[in-house]
Amino acid sequence: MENAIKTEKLVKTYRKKGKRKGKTVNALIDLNLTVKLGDIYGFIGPNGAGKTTTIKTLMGLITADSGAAFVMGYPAGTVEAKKEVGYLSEVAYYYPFMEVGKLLDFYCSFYEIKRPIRKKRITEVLRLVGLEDKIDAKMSELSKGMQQKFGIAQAIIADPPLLILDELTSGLDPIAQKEVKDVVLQLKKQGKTIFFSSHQMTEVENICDQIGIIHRGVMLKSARLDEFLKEESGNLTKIVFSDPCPEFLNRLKEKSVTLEAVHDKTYRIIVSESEVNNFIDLMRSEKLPVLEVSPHRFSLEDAFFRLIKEDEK
Amino acid sequence: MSVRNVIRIASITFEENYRRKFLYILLFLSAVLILSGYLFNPFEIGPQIPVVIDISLTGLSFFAVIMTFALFLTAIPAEIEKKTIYPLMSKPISRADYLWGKYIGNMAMIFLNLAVLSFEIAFLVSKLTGTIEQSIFNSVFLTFIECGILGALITLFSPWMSYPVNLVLTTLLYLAGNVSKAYIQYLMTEPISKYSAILVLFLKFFLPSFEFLHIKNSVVHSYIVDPNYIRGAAIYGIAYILIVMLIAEMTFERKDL
Repeated sequence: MENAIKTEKLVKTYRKKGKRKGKTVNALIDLNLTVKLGDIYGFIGPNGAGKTTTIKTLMGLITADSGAAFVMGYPAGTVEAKKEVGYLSEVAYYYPFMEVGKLLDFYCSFYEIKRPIRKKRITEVLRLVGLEDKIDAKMSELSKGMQQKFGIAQAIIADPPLLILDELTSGLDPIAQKEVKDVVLQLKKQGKTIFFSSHQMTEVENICDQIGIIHRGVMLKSARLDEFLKEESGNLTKIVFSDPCPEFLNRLKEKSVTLEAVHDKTYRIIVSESEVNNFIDLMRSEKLPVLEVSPHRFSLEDAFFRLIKEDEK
Repeated sequence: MSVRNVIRIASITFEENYRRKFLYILLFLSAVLILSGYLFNPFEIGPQIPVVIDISLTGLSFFAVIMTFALFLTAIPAEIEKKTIYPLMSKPISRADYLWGKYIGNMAMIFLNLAVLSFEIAFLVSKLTGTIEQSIFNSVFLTFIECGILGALITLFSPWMSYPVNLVLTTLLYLAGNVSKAYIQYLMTEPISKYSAILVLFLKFFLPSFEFLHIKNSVVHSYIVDPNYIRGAAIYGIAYILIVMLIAEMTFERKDL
């Protein structure tokens, strides 16, 4: 088995409620998804794109209208599949009356792990997420960031090989985001396969090996991150120059070149490789200092917006 | 279905219910009602015992039904609404484990409360008669089975309906289930319209016969109830619960959470 997750032509349609009752929404349209073992897969898309629907289908929380989904080789949602996966939901609530340690023990008990091992595992996991001093605290006493960390703790309590995390850092402050991200990186070091959805492009770009972009229920792109960015960037070159006169800037704009101000009196243009010499000659003729000429690489954010806009057209 | 998983979910459901203050208020009010039947009985001699038993068992039955509604109506919808169901259902458990766990957890709480009240009744009656009346426990046991049927019906509908709709529907089913079998039999002998006939057949064959589980009148009047009747009534009730829960399992399997 080389795939941790595999879906084949997954289709899910919802019926609308309220005023538009009866109308349907296609949440997933023939969704094919493959996540390799050991990878960190970032699943991105705008709100309502179908990320949570996909994840809930993988966890068996909702049933697809057609198609198939497999988790660690087992049909999604079966008890066998759930033994192999840890899940953090987008909005997670836990029994507020229970203590952190007791609730973890409760969740862990479903994996048929013996009590002494469970006890040891709870201590380890709480240490990993930084909640070791909260073992006797009631769930209702934890802050939002702590609850999210607890969410990770309950997902990894049985040491599953695959983690599915929905909106990993949503609603967290920057410090908590960083802490949660560090935990994910540590889990990657342990060899876990991690599939997570996020709105944070930099977060995805920093930690993922593979990405999938979904929009209106359709998978627009699923690829290795580096290959995807290279492909999206093409053979573009960035030229940074300074002290141009306004007329020169207007001339550049007329040529439909991507022009951006870097900082005071310093600008950059992004041009195709074949045009680089022409533009450098132009700048030299104007006696403008050329500060940098380097290959341009799109950020994930740039590539994401470009793909989404293209799809909307 | 895993029995261990069912027990684990039942225990956390029981623990959750154990913290609900309104249950203690309900229990207290019922206990007071039963006690008042004993303390403020207008009869000095003769009918005193039947009146105390009648008031006590009626109060207990009323309390049991209210408690069943209170526990079962919110059990599953609240978990879905609060999303505490997500981390739980992502663990290696089946939906049947979850459904039975919630059901048994709630029934355990009802059992505990009915046990407290039945001991109170038995104690008060023993003060009047000098003996422990076994028939009181038989009656309470069948009330417990009645709660089980009602709980199963609420469980069947609760993932799909809002609380008020479920409340109205199960109340109607409960009232219809209390329609006397003799009355239904009488209707069947009368010339009635096609639709009424369908309704009567529905009442006869599909609705639970709660009347079958009521032995209060016999207990009140000290008639001997055949133990085979009690066994038969219990088997009928348990079979009805199993069938309803099986249907609930099948429908809940397709529910999007």
